[in-house]
Amino acid sequence: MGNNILMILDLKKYFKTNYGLVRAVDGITLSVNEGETLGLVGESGSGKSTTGHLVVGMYSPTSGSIIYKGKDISFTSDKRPKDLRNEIQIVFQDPASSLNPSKYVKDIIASQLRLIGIKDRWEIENRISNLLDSVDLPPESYMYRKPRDLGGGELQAIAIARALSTNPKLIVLDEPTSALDVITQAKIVKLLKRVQEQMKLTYIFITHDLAVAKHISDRIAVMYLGKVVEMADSEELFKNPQHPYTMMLFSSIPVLSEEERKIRPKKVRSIGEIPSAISPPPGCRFHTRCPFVNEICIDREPVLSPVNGNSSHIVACHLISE
Amino acid sequence: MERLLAVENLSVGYRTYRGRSKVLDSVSFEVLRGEKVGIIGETGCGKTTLLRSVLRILPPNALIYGGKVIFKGIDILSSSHDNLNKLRRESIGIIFQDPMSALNPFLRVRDQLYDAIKYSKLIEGYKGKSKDYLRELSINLLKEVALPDPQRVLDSYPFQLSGGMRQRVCIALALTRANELLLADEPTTNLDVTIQEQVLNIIRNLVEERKLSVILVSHALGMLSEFVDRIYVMYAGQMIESGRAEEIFFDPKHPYTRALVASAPKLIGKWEAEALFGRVPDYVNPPEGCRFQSRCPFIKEECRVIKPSPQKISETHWVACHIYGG
Repeated sequence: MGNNILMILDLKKYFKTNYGLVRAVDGITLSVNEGETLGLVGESGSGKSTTGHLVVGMYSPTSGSIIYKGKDISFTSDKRPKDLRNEIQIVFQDPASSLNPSKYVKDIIASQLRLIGIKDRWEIENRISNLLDSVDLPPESYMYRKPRDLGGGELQAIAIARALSTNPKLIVLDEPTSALDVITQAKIVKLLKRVQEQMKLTYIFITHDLAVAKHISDRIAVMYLGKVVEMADSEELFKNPQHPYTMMLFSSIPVLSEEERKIRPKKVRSIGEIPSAISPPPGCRFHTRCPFVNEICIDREPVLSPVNGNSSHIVACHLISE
Repeated sequence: MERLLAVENLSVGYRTYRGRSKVLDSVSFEVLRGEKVGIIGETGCGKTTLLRSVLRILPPNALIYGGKVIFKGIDILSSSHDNLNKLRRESIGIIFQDPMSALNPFLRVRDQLYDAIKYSKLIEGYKGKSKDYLRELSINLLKEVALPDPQRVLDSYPFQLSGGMRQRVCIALALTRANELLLADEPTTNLDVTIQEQVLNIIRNLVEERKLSVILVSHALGMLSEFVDRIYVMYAGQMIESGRAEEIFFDPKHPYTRALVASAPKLIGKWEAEALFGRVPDYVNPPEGCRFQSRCPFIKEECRVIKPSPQKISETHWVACHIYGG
């Protein structure tokens, strides 16, 4: 893998609400290498989407910094240099609500192309048909259709084509397949992988489905209540999960065959629910649901440290670092 | 085993502004007493319409073209409202997909549970008892679905509860009715995997304790494989394959079932999805013959004309596809 394309340093994002301060992202440090796919997994409320939204600049962080290709971009996208804005794109979870239902597919993509300064009509048309081709949609039959006439998989493909229209380097995929049926999901994941190879893209793939994350990610970061609790190469994480939360997620995956059932860790059964991010539990945030909880877990917050001296596999748990 | 529910050649559609749609195309299936049956299919294949027909709670624009739904010898589709309500009250309970829209947002959980209990078998012989008794019954129900702190839950509004808790309240509501058959319409689709596991465990335990029969409708193969005995595969309103869970997952026959099983993300090995283009056909003008024809890679002449009939693969396994004759 190449060099770092994105660095996130002690990133925090708090939201003010009537009930108090929501600590959606509470100090995460990550780096993404060029050309790789980083999976962000966790339950709803773990801050994975907020992290993705911060990277594309949908809002500015409370503190910490996001460094893209050596430049600090820790502010909203309208304050970022224009060329950098084009290089970071996002695909949302629900394609039906992220595309204007009454506009032609052509116009949806064309408006992006005009934004990056392509004015010539033929050029625009050309590019659109190339883009639609690259996501397996025959341009002649999709250009003049409207999102409301299309199915979920086709819509998500269009959302991907739109994200590709500005020649991005980094795409944040915010649960791009969780609103889709299994068959369409498999197709979209395949498409994403192919496009990544062709265009040398870097992905941040946000999902709550560990099985999907396993197949698309090179590395996986597991998040819980605004913190990264474990990060490793995807193979390593599945072979050797360390954090009890990772094991809990892992053991909850429904599987088909007996072999798969065997490799799921048995130790941790799913109990309880993710606590409120307004008043996260003291010490280790997972201690309210952890079956191995100790006194130290309630007192002190664990820090991310390498597992068995392997610096690419880090985990924040008192049980392991001790 | 005794046959509890039998659906025979059921055809149901809807009145739409474009004409009459034909969603269910002579669907037949059965559920034995104490059996856990799964129905799998993608969005818009008529799974929900089928479940709603079983309870006859279809929307007003629905049209029943023909067929029978026989529950313990009574045809639900032609029985009187009194008989039907008795079944709904005492025998069959349903859990809907979205717990937020299944609960009334303006009423506290307790009021919804009290109402459900008042019109159920649970209250029999206790007419005239005080509210305390209702509360006690409700708390027991909530404890059965493993809700922590049932006292607080009873006094909250649905929006104050998390998705998993709401779904558990819905299961408790269904339990007031389900003494024989429990219908579950994608009960865990909106939940996190961890919560999904908890909810499934609760349903599994209850079903075993109370010896219920279950129809679990879902598009998630993995979830079904851990829960049901027998599976029906549905595509565009037709039953296309059925068998024991192992037969469907490890020896799928129909091209659609094969694609479906291949698409499920696996923990071991590569994820090789078969490319299946297109989507479920239009129900207002459904194609003649097999409804899967537009997406089928193995299409033959007769697929466009004749609807395939079920062919036996084994004692428990059948498939409706021209590849296998018929």
